[in-house]
Amino acid sequence: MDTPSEVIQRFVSSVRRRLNRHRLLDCLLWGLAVVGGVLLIAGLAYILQGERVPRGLYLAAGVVLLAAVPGVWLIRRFSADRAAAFADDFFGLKDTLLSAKHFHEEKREGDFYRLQEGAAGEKVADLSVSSIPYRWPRKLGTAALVVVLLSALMAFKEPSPEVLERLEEERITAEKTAEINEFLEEELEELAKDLEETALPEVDPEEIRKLPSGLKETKNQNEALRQYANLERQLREKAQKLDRRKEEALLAAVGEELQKDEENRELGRKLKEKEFQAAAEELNKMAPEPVQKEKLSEQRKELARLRAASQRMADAAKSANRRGTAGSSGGAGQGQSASGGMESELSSLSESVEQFSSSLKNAERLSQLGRLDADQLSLCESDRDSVLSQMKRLSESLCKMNALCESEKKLLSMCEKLGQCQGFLCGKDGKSLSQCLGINPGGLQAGNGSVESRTAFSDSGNTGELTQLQGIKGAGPSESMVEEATEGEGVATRRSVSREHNYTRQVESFVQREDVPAEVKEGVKRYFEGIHQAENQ
Amino acid sequence: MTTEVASDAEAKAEVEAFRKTFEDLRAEIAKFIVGQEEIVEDVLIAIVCGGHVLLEGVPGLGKTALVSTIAKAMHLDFSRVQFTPDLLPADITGTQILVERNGEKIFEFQKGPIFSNILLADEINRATPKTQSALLETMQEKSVTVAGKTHALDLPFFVLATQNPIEQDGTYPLPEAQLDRFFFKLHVDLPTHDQFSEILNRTGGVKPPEIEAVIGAEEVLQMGRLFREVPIDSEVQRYLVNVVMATHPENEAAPDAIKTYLRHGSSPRGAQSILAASRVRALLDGRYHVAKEDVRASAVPALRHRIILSFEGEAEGFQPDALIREAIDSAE
Repeated sequence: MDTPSEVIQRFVSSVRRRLNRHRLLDCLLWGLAVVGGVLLIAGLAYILQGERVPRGLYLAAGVVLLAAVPGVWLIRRFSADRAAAFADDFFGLKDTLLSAKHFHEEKREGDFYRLQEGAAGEKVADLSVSSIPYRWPRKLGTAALVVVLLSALMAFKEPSPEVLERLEEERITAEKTAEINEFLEEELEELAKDLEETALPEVDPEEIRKLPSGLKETKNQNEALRQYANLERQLREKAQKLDRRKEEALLAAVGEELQKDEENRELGRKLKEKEFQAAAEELNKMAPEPVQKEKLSEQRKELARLRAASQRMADAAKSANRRGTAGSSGGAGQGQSASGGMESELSSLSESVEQFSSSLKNAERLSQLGRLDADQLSLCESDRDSVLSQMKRLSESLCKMNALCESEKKLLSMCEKLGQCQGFLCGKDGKSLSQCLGINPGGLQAGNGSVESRTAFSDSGNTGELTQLQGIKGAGPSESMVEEATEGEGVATRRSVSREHNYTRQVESFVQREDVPAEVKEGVKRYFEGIHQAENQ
Repeated sequence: MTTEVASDAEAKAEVEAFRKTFEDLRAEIAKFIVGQEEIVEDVLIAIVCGGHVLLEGVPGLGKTALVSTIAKAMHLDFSRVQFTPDLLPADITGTQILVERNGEKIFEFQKGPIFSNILLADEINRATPKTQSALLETMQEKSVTVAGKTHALDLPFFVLATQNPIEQDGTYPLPEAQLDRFFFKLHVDLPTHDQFSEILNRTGGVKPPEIEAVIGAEEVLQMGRLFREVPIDSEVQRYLVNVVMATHPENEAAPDAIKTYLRHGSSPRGAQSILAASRVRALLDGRYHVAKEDVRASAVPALRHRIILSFEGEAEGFQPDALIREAIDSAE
């Protein structure tokens, strides 16, 4: 048999549970209305901009609803006291339950407290909690239903054609940048390895390796172009540090002078064509043999070639430097000092060869007189060592020149590839990156027949660049010289054409770059247009 | 537990007896007094609570008849004093008179009309303040001191004072401090048309209705002891205090009308009156606890004479009852 207080407590608990269920429904409806309303507004904002409503928004709304509704319910749910007060009001009990509950909690004792509790227990025994109705908030419910439905319908609205097009472009851009970044990462790694082999202090391979870390996959074409242009600028700056034009020009002049001498024509050609490694090897072939008493005369004759070469080289270097100093007044800087260094090496070689030749001549004369002694031979040997030392120095300088040129070429080649990558990024002709770069042209298998074009790229001139340069083919400075040559078999190269295409692409890439001021771009355009006008005149 | 059960049964029987007695009194009084059920109930509650009532109404509404009928139904002594400006305190309390006893002349105290169970002080505002004070002091002390000797009044002692709201010339309005001594202030309204007819029927005949005694003095005192046992929940008490506090214009939580139209709010005596009356109402409703409903029903008669209107309130013609109801509404 339950005591009246237990009956009362059970009844109040039942009322509380029922009221809290009703409150939960209220909170849910409110949550749906509020979240649905916010979702509706946010969705409309997307739809008015022509975009699809993101699925994530619905997920977020759902999460917020799931988190907020229980939270609000926990705060606003009925306490036992409030439930008792509600029951008193609803059933017209005139504070009976609340009073009984408090009297019981405060442990008040006495006749009247027991009577009150008993009377309360009797009253609630006949009452049914289920008679407490849930008053559906019609307006709120309707509003919640409407906003939820409208929000749900918005999910099916497709983006506008413009947005679809933009999204497609972004997707393509993202794919292309990913592909380009992957390609650049590999290429820069290869470049870093190549530069490591050269071990030049002027360029740090680690810096080259770190360059790809700044590249990001992006959907924004302008941002992508910016990052590649930035990378290209960095590579060009590194290439500029390796620039040894003065020395190259000096060695070209030296080579040209050497070509006048039949014996040293090959050395001259190699120097002129910047085959410095080969030139060093050619020079080393002329290294004098150890001095032998019996072969002084032959050795002097053998030395004549080296003597002639070193003399010509020193003279050519001197006159080339004199011409360079006269041309640029006082602004030579590093180039001037570098070429001065080369000139001094050539002069030193020439002097040491002269000295050695003189020693040999003297020794020969003494030998003929029968007065050749060990001291004289030793002196000759010493002079020979001096010649070898100078030749070694010159050879090392030529090897370093070779490494610098090769590295600069590789860096500039990388810049060219970057330009092609930018062309690929902007291109709408459907060409792949490989096609734009001119590698792996594709096809099922190699075909039979002759290839008309020996170039690895098309002559169409369409680089995908929006800015096209106008110029006259062959109107600019020529990098090739026409020489008279004997009739024979040979292979004609189209290096000038390939250089022209490379040059076109590089300049177009340069014009396309955003970090280049507009005035500079304009100047470049006007330059080519000026050439065009000169042709017309 | 057996003791508790027996005790509970006894208490329940007492409460039932209380209700029945009250109902019997009401029924008996209703034989003669037409209508005015609320007034009758409030007067009976005041008597049970040991308080005094100030009745305000025009002459001829049966105030004297009401009090005399109650006195008959309760089998209590009843006396009536018509207050006039020349009434002296001794006329109420009694005085020493020189009498001859056994050949000796001695002063003997002659009890005044106040020495009864129920005193009707008609038109109390017509007497001088000195005379009013004599009555009011006795109402508080329930004794009379004359010539250094204290004479206790018989209990229960109940004063029903009346005021005429239409003849204010030459009157001495009771000061607020003395108004505060009255348990309730009740307004007696004119009867309705049907009630008028009934009054004529009952009083116009040859033989007016006979009023039988329902209870005696001891039972009245017993009822006065019983109602004090009715418990009140802390929440209901909080509500009661809020009602009284809301009548104070300096209280920040008081309604704006209170702050504007009242000068002073009720004293704690008002809260005591409300509590006592609420307990009686709870018993009459068959409950063993005080409810907010009881407080709401008791607040107006207990507070209407304990609040003082401000100049704006008087100028605007505000009635205390309306302001008290605002205070009640704001107390939740």
